[in-house]
Amino acid sequence: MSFRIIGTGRAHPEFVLNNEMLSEIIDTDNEWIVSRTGINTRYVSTHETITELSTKAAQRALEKAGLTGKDLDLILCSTMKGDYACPSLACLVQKDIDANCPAVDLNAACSGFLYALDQADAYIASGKAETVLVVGAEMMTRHLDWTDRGTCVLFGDGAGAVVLKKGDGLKSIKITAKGDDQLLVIGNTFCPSPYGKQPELDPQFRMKGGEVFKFAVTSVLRDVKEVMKAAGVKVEDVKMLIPHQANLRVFQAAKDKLGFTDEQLAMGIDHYGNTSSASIPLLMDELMEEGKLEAGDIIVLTAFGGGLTTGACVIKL
Amino acid sequence: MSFEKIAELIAENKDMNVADITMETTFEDMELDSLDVIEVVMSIEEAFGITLEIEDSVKTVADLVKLVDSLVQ
Repeated sequence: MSFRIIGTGRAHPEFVLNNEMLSEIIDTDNEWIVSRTGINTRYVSTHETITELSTKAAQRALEKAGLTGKDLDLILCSTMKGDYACPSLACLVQKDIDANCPAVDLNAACSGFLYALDQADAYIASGKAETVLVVGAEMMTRHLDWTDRGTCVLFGDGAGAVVLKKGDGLKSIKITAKGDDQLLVIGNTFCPSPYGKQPELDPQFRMKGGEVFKFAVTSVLRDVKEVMKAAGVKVEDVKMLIPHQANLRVFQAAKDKLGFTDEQLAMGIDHYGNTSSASIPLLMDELMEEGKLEAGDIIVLTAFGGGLTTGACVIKL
Repeated sequence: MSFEKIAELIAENKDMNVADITMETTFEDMELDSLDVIEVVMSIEEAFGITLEIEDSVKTVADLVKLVDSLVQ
């Protein structure tokens, strides 16, 4: 396969929102949230923009790679919504890191980082690019119904970035989609038009939790088995399984069925909450910095989310 | 038939003693939260080759057995 990871970076807002604070605005408590989600705290943007977080994460990843924006051939930003509908988040990051390559956003909800890796793989494998910046950035707290205790406790904001260079780190990757507008939705809002008669959509995050839980566990089991088989790696070869940090109970169920140990399961949801497509690159950078992951380690990434989309891959660092 | 199998699946999934599970046992008695119930449902779906849609009215093992029986026939 086509690339290896040569730098990682992350950024999150300053403000830490804990469960006790949430119990002051809605009818919930720490025990309920922790036992059902694994979340203790999450970062919530108060003044930071998604462009600032993305740029910071990108700059850190470039520093670690020993490169500058000028060395990039392509910038891919995975996000459901940047600060602007236009220009794209990727174009604003390109400007702020002083790059001059093509830049584009893509949206595959929580699986977006895996979709972006897949696109980077295609660009690099075809010879159209050698060095690609991939950013996963989301400001989920802009899309929540803060009166819905079943969903507003789940999310946080953040950005993670990786710099990819032509190489042989990626061992296998797959992405899937199955169109559905019932299980997990966030409606868009538009300016009124004198001609548009379409019904308005609810702009707040809505989810059928039980069904999404089933979808998540089932797809993680299927995708992880498939990419590990394609890469020819066994559970004991894997240093860490890094699932999209959506819900501790989802990846505990999947971990047990796949045969991974607690030590092999990457955990960031306790202090980040669900940051959608930012969750995997955020956590990867943290694990690298803490020395829990190092060059030569084999990792398995797996994600699932709205769309419905899923993605998984095996990478040798 | 389905009761024994369902009780077995619940016990296996949630580390319980199968003898403690009767038709009258509620999810609440077993301290199963909504996500535990989904996990049990997933193992039932796999074992019986069916798809279950759990509604709030399903509260006891008997409710679950009835639901499974209606789909298996």
